[in-house]
Amino acid sequence: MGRKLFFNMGKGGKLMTIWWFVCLILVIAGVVLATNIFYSQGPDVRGIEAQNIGKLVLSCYGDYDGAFESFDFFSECNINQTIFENGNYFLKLSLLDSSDGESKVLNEIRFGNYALENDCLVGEKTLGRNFPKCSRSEFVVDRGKLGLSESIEILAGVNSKGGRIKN
Amino acid sequence: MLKMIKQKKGSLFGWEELIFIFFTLAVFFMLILFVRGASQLDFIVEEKMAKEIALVINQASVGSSAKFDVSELYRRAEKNDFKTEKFVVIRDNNVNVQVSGFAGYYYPYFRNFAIEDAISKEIDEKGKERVYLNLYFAEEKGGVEDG
Repeated sequence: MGRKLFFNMGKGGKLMTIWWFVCLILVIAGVVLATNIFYSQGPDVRGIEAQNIGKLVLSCYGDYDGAFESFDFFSECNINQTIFENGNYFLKLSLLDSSDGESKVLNEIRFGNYALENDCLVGEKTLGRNFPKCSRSEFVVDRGKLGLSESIEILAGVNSKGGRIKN
Repeated sequence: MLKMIKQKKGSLFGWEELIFIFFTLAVFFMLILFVRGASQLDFIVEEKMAKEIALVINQASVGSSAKFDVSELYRRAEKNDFKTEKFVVIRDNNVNVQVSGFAGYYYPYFRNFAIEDAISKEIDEKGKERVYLNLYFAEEKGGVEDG
């Protein structure tokens, strides 16, 4: 009876053969593996964080009333310097001169882990998960307190990773 | 064509074919349940919430507040007999979310706030109890935080 059921289904042909079970096991294994891989990655919010740093800088720099080169991102934007410099964050501000239609970099200031700047360049061209997620944007900042407009480029990189709490 | 699927006179399918179909459907139904269940696991919900809270903190400003619906976390913590007052802990620039004694998830934030947190319970329009995590970014910390 069992042999007939699993290996020969009578005149209609063979349905539940050993090969069908092998195929089923392969499908199950594939789905389980794909599900585990997908959910073990977790949601990646580094790109959003990088964009948010850009927006934050834009807001802080607009309210700042000093010179570009003395802009202190940590104190002006209320940033924890220890956390930002622990290796997972990077920020570069470039003051641009766009007067003749072509952007020239007049000055640059950097914060955080400088090594991430190069990683951002590589990460833009590859799909490696260990490279930081970066956001590059150019703005004209209206600095109301000084009554002038400046063109700045913001490059923010984030490679922050959380983790499981060990009990 | 009809001849091909006919097993006996007067019946389209034999019992063997029915077993085959039901067995196959059962296996795929279980697979769907597995995939659906995998997205609802505690560690996935913990990670999602920790990152969500950290993102909001990073975008907050002094004097503002934020409110998160953490009913799902609270329900899970209760179900797992975990301390329901400690399922979200914001400390040392980390958001820790844990709903079971097994393991939780932490995600760092980089803003320098003194964050006051409070859990509140409200009844929604459907009469269901909702649990909220309220965060207040009331005052700035002086200098670099230790720890």
